[in-house]
Amino acid sequence: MYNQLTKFGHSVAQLAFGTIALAAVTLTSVYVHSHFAATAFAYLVVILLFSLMGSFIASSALSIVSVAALTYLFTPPTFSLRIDDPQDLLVLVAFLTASIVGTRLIRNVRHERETAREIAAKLRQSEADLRDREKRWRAIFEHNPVMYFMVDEAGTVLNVNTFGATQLGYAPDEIVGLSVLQIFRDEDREVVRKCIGECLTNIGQSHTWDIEKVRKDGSLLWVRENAKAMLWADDKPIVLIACEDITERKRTVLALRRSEAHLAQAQELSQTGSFGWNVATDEVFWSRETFRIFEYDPETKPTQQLVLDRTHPEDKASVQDVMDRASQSQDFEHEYRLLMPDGSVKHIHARARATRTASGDIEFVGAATDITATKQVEQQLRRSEAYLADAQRLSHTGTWSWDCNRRRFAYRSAEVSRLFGFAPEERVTLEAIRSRIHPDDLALQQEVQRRAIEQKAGNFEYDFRICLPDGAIRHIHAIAHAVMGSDGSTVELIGTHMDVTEQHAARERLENTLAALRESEQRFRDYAETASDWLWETGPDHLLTQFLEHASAAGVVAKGVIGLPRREIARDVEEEPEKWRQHQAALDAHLPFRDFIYRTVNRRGSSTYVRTSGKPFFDGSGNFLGYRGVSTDITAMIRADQAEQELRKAQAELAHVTRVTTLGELTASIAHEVNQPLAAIISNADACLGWLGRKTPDLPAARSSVEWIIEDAIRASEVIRRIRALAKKGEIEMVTIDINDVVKDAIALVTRELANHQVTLRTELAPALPAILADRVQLQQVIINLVMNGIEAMQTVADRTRELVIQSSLDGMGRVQLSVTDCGVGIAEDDINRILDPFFTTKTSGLGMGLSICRSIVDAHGGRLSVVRKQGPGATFQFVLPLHEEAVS
Amino acid sequence: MSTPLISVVDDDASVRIAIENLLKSRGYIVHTFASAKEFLESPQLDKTSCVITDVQMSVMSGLDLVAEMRARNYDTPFILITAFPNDRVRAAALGAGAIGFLAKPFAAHMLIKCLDTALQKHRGGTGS
Repeated sequence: MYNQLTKFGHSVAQLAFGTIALAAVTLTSVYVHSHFAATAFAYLVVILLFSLMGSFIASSALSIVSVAALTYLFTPPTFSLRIDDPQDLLVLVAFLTASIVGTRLIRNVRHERETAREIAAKLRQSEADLRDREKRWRAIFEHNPVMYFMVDEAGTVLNVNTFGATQLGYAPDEIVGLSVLQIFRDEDREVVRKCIGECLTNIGQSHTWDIEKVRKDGSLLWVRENAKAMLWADDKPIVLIACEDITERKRTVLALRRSEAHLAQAQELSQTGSFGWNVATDEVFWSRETFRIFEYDPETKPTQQLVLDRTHPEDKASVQDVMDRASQSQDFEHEYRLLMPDGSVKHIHARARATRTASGDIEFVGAATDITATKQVEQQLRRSEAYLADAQRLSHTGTWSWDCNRRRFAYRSAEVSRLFGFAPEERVTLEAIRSRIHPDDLALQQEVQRRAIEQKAGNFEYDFRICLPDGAIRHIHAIAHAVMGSDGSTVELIGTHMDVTEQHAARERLENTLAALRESEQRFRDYAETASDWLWETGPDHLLTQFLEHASAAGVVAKGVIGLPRREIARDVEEEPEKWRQHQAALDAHLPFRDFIYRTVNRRGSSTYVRTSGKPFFDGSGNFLGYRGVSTDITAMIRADQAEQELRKAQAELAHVTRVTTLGELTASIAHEVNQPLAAIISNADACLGWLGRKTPDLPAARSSVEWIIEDAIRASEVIRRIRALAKKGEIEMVTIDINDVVKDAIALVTRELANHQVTLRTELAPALPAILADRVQLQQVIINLVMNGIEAMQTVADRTRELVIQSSLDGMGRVQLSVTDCGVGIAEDDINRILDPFFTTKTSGLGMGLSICRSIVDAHGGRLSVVRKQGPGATFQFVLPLHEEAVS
Repeated sequence: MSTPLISVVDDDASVRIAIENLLKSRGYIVHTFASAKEFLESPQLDKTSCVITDVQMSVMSGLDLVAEMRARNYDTPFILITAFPNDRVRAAALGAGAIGFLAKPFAAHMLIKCLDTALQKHRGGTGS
């Protein structure tokens, strides 16, 4: 339309301007009187010129106007449209033809030119479009969120889009020229090589694979690659690869898989299977766990009938009922049992909710849980509750809970009632309970509870007494703790009451026992303190661990002995190795030892003798733990002993001297005793010669003579033996002997003496006396001494038989007793107490040591020498000796 | 002449037996006594040709026996033997008229010699 209007405008303008130009030419021509032909030519030029404006019609109109003007003005007749001259007509025709053809040609040329210009414009336009499109495609290529790679046969990247490069953290030109393998992980490179190889083998065919790419910074990127090979310039194959970032998808898939696994695991762990049931289509879906619970093969197509098949016969009706009701799109929840093929029973809790599917069907989505274990736990719980009740009853322990706000018991186990003397089922008021608490304890109990409520944390314990109606007292130990409410205040006290009446009694008994034990300990401590100077204890290694000196003996042992073995405390180990070896053996054998004596030094550095006794002690399993024992400082005793030893030695010396002196006094008697057998021997020997020297030798008599010789020789040697024994200066030798034998030996030595003094000896020796432990020689000396004294005392007796009596007997205490009685002058009353003292004598000769020595000897034997007052003349000396212990037993 | 009877008094049995044995081997008839009292009370008192007695004996010593015999008018010869030979006893013995005084142990031939002397004297005595 616009074009048409423009064209029309152009035509009008062309016509208007053409007409004006023609008019001008006409005027000019008229003015100059130009030739018709020239005017025509001028007209032709104008028309041709204006035809350049395009409108053929306007050009034609101008041509016609020109023709008319020429005809009218320039052809004769002038001012007439008649043409008289044919030539003019010809010119006019030529003119018209020329103008028409001319304008036509010009139009054509113009048209051609227009067309060419249009084409050129179009061409320009399409070029711009192309550029534009390329730019767009390039943008698409570059920024399309797909990574594009172009790779040559060798795997070198020929091209990559910006997105692709950016995704990998490179600038595009950094990647171009690289081997494509560099953007893959080492371990994936072989796969990439293979995939590209496949593409190149099958040109034009698409290949897809998922793989991880490596970013410039080393991070990984999951991509799905679509690749295809194609022939490029020079028929060289290239591979185009489009990569899509599927990291997120991979992650999602992974997450999905994981969540599926979690769900499956959760189902398995919770033993809950899920199911779906489309009531309309009766389509059923079961999760894996559901299959497991119902023990069906997961490949089985699940149906509601399968549920019914497994249902316990007793529960079938109810399950069927639930299913029927579900058909009316009601949510359901129920419990039922399954009877499994192996005969076991499972408890199932199922609940489902009706939902509506997109297609408007009712579908149940639900869960079925295997609650067999829960059921069992429930049963066990019920049983435990029963046990607990039993336990409470048996242990006399009740539990309770006190509601602090309502100030009443929230809970009280049956045993609490029982403890307070109520029947468990009896309804009891708080006042009734309070009334049974011992009045003295009520306030305390309430105070403790009040503090517990305030204090809030920790357990609190208290004891109180319950007074039962029958008057009995029950001791209760209560333990409780506070329970906090959400506002931080104490809302509840939870506790137990335990009947500790028996424990209470037992504790009292224990306390009594402990008191007795303490007393006993003190007693033994007293014993130990009086019997010893200190107590000690050693460890398993025999090192001293404890050392407890009694106050009286402090300072006896040097300081710093703790941690030492006894042999290091002692100072006589080297002097008496055998004693210590035996002691060590006893310690190593864990044997008790008694009265082990050793020498050490005291704090002042002087020698101290210690007597110690110890016994091993062991733990419950019999493991040796060490020794415990007592020690006593016996230095004084040892010194006294040593002094006594010295005294004994001196006494022994003295005894020997007196013995020898006595022997001297007995020389005559002894010579007699020796000479007697010698005389007999000589006589018999001569007799023997006599018997043999007869004409007919009397051999039997000669033999008898020799036999007597032998007997007499023995007797002589016996006498000599006795004398030698008596004269011997030997160590005291304590042996078990019969006192009667000693008496007989002594008598043998004094027989002649008695005879010489005309003293008759009478012996009254009690048979079968127990043996005594004594030194034979010393005892013999005592007896001889007493006999000699007796002989001497009877020296002056002329008016009566000089009789000496030696008696042996058992005294009232079972000791052996020996007495020597004479009928001599007797002892003056004044002398009786001194007669046994040294240097006391009533004789004109002698030292007065005899009886004194006798007394020492008897004392040394543990006996006692005494003078017995006697009715009538004479004196009796007697001594008693204790029995030898072994002989007694 | 009948074989003389010898009485031996000694409280020591072995000495008694030994002297008896010795004298018997020489062909004497011997009687032994354990004490002076036993001898004094025996029937052999009158028939005894010689008394050999120990000096030290309890109750009655050999010297006492001699004194007692003499007191009873027996002049039987004595030989005293003793294991305690001292001058006092020897003097007392010889003073009491003993034929011999022998210290134990004595040689047999000494006793025989004393005995022979005593018997000779006794025989001679009775004879005279």
